[in-house]
Amino acid sequence: MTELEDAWREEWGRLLALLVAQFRRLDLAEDGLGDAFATAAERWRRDGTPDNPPAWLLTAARRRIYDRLRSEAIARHKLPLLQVDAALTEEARTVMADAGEAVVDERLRLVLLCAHPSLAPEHAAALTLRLVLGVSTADIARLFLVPTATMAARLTRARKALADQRFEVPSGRELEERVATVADVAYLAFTSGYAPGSGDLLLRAEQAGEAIRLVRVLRSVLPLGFAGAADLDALLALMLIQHSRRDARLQDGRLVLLPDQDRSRWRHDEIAEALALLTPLAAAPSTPYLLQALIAAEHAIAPTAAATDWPRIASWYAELERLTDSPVVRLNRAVAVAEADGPDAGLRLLEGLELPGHRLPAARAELLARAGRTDEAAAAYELAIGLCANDVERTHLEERRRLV
Amino acid sequence: MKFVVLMAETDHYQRWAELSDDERAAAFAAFEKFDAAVAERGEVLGGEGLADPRESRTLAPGRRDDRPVTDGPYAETAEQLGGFYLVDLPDMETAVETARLLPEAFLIEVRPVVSG
Repeated sequence: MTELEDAWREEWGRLLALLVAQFRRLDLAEDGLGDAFATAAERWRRDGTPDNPPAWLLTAARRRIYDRLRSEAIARHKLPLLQVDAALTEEARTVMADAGEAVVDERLRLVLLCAHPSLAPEHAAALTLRLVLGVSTADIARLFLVPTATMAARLTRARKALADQRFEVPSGRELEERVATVADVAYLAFTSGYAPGSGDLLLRAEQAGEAIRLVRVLRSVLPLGFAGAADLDALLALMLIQHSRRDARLQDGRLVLLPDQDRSRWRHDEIAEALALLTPLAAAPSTPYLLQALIAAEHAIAPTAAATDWPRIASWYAELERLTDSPVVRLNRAVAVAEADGPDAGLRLLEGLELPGHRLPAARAELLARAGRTDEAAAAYELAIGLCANDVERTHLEERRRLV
Repeated sequence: MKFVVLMAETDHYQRWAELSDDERAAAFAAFEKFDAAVAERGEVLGGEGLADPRESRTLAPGRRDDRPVTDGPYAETAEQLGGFYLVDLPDMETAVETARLLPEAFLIEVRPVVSG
């Protein structure tokens, strides 16, 4: 039933946002729209797809919601309402979406509501996937590796936390901050997809794909000339490049690291899109997403791993470290510097660095081995192996230690 | 005394979906007035709105496994039961008086509960 799947993908967020504007409640809007799609699955199969699927869905959802409201009035349930501008509610109420009339797009309000500061980032990420993209609770649970009931409870808490907040598009600085939060939420959803060892890699690629879709939606609904647009372009480019390697990342069920990947298996159309996004940003002010995107792009354009322009990558990492002051960035920078200027230069950057986990000793071990300091390298590998919680990576480290 | 207040209307579900927002708001206001009036004289023990009778299943008389089950309500009438209240009020007269406050379009049956 592809028409219905298309409608779900294309219209869910738009219709949900409209119902939220009209009825001022996330739970009602979501249940009503969910029911409308469920009814559509039955009816469209029997009677054929209606002329205007979104109008059909909107009418069916409203009907459901009117019934719910009547029932709640009798059962005397009083629930908090979102604060929505009266004119907007009026406008949403009168949209019939028939006769080819376009549905007013209120998704920006919905996206920004999900990025409300009262929500923890991982809860915001889950709620955004559910409300804006219409991903099912069971699928979100799968993606975040928790039982469905746990995710359902988490989403319910998140909805409740937002129940009486403002459904609006803030202006100026506040809009920029909120959009930056959405960007971080999208990137969090994206990277949790690619965290090594966190479950089925194919599934994780699906989650990353949804996070990319969220950034695309966000870019499409923001006002023209929005101040943070460049950073969103950079973020999208970064995600596209990382995502373009998904097929090369896996070989016989094992993780393949960047230098060993078969570059012909990268999605070069996606890389091209990312590079086109980055080209106009050549003179844009540096931001963490832009620098990470430039680093990713540098890898993407190198024909072979050996042809990688490490000095450029190292200089971008240096700038990124100045911006973020992050020990993880420092570690990555040290690796890039070692590739550009030799292992000793890399090791100097690791001195005094503190970072929990196995990645720091593993990187030190690698550089010590290259510098010919085999005893120290073996000791560092031991330390890293002891700290490594991931089977695939530990096996890799044990192999490396044997070679020292 | 306890009473069940049954609310019905001809083609209730279709009509409800077609009401204007103002008309729906008037119905909600009527429910609230009824609530308040009952609370002054007694207590609302419960109340629920019912789903469309097309979602009902009806079991015909019979022994357990022999009961035929059909889709829809037990009585196919033009009047559809849309919801009910269970209230505790001093007497039938008071129950009828408060029920007058419910939405004008509704047909209402007030029936005493046997246990009182």
